[in-house]
Amino acid sequence: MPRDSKQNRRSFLGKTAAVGSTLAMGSMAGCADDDPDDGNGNGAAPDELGEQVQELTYLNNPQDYSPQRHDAINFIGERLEEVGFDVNVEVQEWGTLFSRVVDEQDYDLATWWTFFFAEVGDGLLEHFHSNGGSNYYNYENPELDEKLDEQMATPDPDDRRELIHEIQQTLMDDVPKMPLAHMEAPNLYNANVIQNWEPHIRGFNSYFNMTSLEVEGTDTISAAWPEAMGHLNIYAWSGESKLRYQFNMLFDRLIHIDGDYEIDLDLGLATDYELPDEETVIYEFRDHTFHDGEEVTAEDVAFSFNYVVENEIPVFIDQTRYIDEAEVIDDNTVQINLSQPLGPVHLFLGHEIPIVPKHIWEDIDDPVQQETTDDIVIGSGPMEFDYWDEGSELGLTRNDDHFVGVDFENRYWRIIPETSTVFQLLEDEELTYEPFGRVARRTQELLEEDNHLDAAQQLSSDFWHFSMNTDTLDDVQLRKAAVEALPRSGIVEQFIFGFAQRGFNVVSPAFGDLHTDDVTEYEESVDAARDRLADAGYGWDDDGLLHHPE
Amino acid sequence: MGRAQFVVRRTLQLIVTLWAVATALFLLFRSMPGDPTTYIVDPSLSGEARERLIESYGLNEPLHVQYMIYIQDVATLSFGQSFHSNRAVRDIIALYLPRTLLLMLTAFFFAYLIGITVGIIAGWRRNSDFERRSVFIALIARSFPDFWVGLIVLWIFGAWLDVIPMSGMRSGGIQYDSYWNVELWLDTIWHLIAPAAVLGFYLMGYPLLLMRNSMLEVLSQDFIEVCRARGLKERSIMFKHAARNALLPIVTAGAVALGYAVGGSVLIETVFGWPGMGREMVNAVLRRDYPVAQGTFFIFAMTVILLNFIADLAYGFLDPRVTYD
Repeated sequence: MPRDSKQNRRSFLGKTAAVGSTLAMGSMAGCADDDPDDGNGNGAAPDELGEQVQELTYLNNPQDYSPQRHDAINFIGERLEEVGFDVNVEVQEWGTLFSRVVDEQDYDLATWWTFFFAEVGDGLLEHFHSNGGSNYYNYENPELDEKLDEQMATPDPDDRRELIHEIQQTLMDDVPKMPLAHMEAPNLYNANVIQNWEPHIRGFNSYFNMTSLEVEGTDTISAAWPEAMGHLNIYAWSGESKLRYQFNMLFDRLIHIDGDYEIDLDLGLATDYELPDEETVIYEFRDHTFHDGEEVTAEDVAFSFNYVVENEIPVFIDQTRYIDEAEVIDDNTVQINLSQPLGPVHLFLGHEIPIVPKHIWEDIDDPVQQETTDDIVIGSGPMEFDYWDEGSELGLTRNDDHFVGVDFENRYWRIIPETSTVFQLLEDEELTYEPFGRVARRTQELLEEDNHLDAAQQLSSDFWHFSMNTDTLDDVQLRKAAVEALPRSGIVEQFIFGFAQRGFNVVSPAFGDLHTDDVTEYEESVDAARDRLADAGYGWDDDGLLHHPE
Repeated sequence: MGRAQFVVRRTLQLIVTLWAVATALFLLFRSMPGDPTTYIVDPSLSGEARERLIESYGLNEPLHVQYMIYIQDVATLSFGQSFHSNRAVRDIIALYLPRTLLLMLTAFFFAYLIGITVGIIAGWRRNSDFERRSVFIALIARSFPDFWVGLIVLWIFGAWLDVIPMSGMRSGGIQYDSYWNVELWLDTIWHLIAPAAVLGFYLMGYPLLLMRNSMLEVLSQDFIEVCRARGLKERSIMFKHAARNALLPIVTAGAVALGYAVGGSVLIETVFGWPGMGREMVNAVLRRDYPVAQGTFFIFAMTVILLNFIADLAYGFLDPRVTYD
């Protein structure tokens, strides 16, 4: 856009904002004298102002990559311009965008769909610690660093919860990142076949939900995913959801969590656990067999933990920092010696490390580079590998010997890239459910129609985030003003079609009592943002552009 | 220059061209922004995990070392191992290429069979209703995007009439023990009809128009009058004399089109959920899966170059007037 027309547009936005502000403050006669910009953002003459707040580059994905997010980012950009920020929304292909933000920190504002991968405390540490591997905000707060370290080493649940609450409060005061919306992925399903579903933080595809489903009228449930699986090697896995949902069913974990985000010893391989000291955890586990008929032994369980450490498995690299060694205590007991105290030991280790058969993996030199064979998909989970027509379809079949089990004989996933085809097949009852959770107008329409489709809509740990580079937005008042102006409710209604809750805390309410509502709330108001900036000494020039205090 | 010398010279040129293509592909993909982990790894995975993956892909090696490894892989046509699936690229090509060729060659065969035949007749019957309708249909075929036609076909024949499958190259939930199972092939053909017909309809316009134009040019030549003067049958003049002479441009067009068939049709494969090479190539680029992207594009380029080479040679056989100077 030519500079002149941009300036004219800014003047227009400034004037429209001024009208709004004037109307809003009409009943506050007498207060305007204290407002350095006279309540309309245009009162201060340029020579009384400090330097202009630098242009903010807001990276946006292409329209076809995620239409809703693309439009939402443009919408946010316009709102921020109304505040007086000079926002340049720059569209970049997803990989470039991600690389510029995460690797190069060559950005000022960014938004995408994310979630905390393993455990919320670890997620907070990775993202907001000064040395965190995912701290692309360049955010530094030494006091918070101490708390982040401390919570990871605190075994007492109450003490740890208190620390995590304090961390949330600090983060929502400093706002390097703000959730725009806590997602409720609307997984459509055939209500004639699936009679129930259980909400869970890991969503419809979670182990918990899949093992809880009651299926009627068929032995086989089917689903569709837009892209091919690629491989079925759990050690070459890079965290992609499509594989997570298969590995959930193929491989057991020692620990699983229920719908209330509580450990449920009936769901996992472990029947009991003990923490003799801060750096030791002992698991007892049940008698069970792998899909090839071999018994699950203590050797297998200890091997599964030691193997990820010895081979530095990328997807479990965060876990390997805490595991020193796993050793066999007796036939059904293993002891994991930690290299440092770890508070969320069960969720971070027991819930994440898959139990694999030693007799298959011990001979594989490089598990990360291992090609998919029939052997490496052998686990002890509630479903067994059946067939894989690469690029087309993956079939799993029930493990009848599993201690939890599933209520269906077979499950197959087809690869269908075309979204409209997936919706049609759901309507035609050729697909039982939709695991992707497509936030789309068509999803909303199908739910409103009188048909057999229902949606497993539930709050998850997923969220759309609004992240700021604190190197550029180094004044917390600037960040707070930006957050204050975010039209979060509008985004939920207009761009996410109501399949989300308004974001307000980096730790979603889905995390149960680890989440707290007691954090700073921000209005969704341009006026509130401008007032905050005015109070902090910021001013606006004739074009409505924001300037630092003199 | 004799034919043998021509073949030797073109073969040497071919080798240099393939090396240049391979090098260009290497540089092109390496110059793209973002490292492969950006696309493969879940965004929520930690930075340390991503670094470990980069090491496992060998992307921490200096560029010249990566290049030497790559050139060795190209020379042996192995192309390395996929970042995304850990499979040898050669195996991935072996998996997806036959599926794409099944779709593309079926479409190609019917498109050229029908296109050439109608083109011959349209050229022969100049200014007739048949010619006007043929040209109109050819223009329609070329003008409507194939993916759009595909969606319309799916909507009418799949969603509404329910006479064609909506997606894939076989029915879901069925596992066949052998590739030689009759039911598997019948199922595959049933799934093949719609995408091949849509693609064939789109491809048909080009040989039809080309053949018609070529026929018009040939029909204006004196030897056609001589044939008529000799009392040859119209059908014989049209197909044996005119059409054979008009076929030369089609050979070149056909060779190039065949080369492109290896690349598949990403849009048709996406619309009809056909698990082919086109989708795999695009996904490999999007995922920055360098080995697969480089391998598939190289095979694609090599096929186009080789078929052009063969077309050049075929010219000499088809038209004795062509020399190798």
